[in-house]
Amino acid sequence: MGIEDSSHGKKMRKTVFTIAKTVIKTAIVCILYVILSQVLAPLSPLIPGLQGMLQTFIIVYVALMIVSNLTSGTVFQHMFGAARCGFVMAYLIVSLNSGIFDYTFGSVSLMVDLRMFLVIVMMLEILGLAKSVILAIDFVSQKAELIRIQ
Amino acid sequence: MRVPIRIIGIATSAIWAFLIIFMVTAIYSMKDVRLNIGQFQNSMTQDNQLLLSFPISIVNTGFYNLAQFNISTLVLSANGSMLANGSTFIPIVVHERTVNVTHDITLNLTDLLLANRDMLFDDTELSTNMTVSMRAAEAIPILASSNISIPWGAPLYNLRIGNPEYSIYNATHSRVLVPLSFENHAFFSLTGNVQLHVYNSANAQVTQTTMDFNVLEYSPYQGNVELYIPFGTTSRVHFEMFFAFPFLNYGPLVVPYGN
Repeated sequence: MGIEDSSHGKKMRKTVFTIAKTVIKTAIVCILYVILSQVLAPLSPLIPGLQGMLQTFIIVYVALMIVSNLTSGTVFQHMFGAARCGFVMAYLIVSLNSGIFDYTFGSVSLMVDLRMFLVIVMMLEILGLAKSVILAIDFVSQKAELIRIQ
Repeated sequence: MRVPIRIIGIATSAIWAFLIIFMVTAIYSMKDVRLNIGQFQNSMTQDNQLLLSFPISIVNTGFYNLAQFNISTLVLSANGSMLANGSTFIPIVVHERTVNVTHDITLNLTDLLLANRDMLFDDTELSTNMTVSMRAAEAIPILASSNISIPWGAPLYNLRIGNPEYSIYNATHSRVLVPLSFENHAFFSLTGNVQLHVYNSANAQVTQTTMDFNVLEYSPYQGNVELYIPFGTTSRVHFEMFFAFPFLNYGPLVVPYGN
């Protein structure tokens, strides 16, 4: 009975810790988003849809981050981590028009070449994706070893 | 296994943070870059080309330097052919500094007016494509282009030859004053001369005269060309006018006169 209580308490503590960690991470991302949107506010009239684009990105990113954190200790944590990397890559490629940001307002057309930035982001995200896959494999293999030992 | 993965994670996060801060501050500081284009000035080069000089000041109060700053202008005629182009390159615009340059566009008036003679007499619009390119924070290529129309004022707008006034000059000749008027709508002053040849009904030249003029930009001109015609010349004559400017000779402009 004492062992069961201790195990239950440990589980409870772990859950509270996970939730607290998720809340803190979400709060940090939200604060960063608020700062970012304030900084980019003067550019909003020039780039319509910038705020919406940023908002959609943050919502999906935070949702995947929350799910990934809440499922920590399971293989789903790594799956959602990989999904987050995939989403960031796909979203940036689509929203940045493959790195060439083209916009026309009135008689002025503006072109910003963000391909270098996109390449760096892609490399980082591929690294993140690979990390998630390796962690998932590691997690599954450790589970398999535990089952065999038991 | 865990430690290298964790280090990769930390390194990735650090690079991400650096990348986001750099990109946001680079884009944000672009709002503190101003390009002021002043009133252009024109002058004639030694080879009789019209030089349009635009004073440009680039104010960079952003966080980063701007590299490879380039301004290029392309002037096109109504039918789309290139009339003039100019380019100004500034290797670097240091932050918290203002750079003043002059953007020159050379316009070959001879070629322009030979290809488009109606531009001597009719006002029109020239299409201008201006492109500004730079590397924001010395890393992000940015290109902005704009199409604008600049008005072309004809140098001989509303050219008119009035009714000649005859008066007796001496025993053999009449003095004839031919009123000549036009408006110089161009943005450059017009210096040159006009030659007036008078032919009788038999198409033989009766007399000729030359008159110099110097008309300031955006100014009208009104003058009289003085001629001395021998008595006995038929009343039916025609004038041939030849304009000579430093950049172009134009003529003859045939004007019939009389019954």
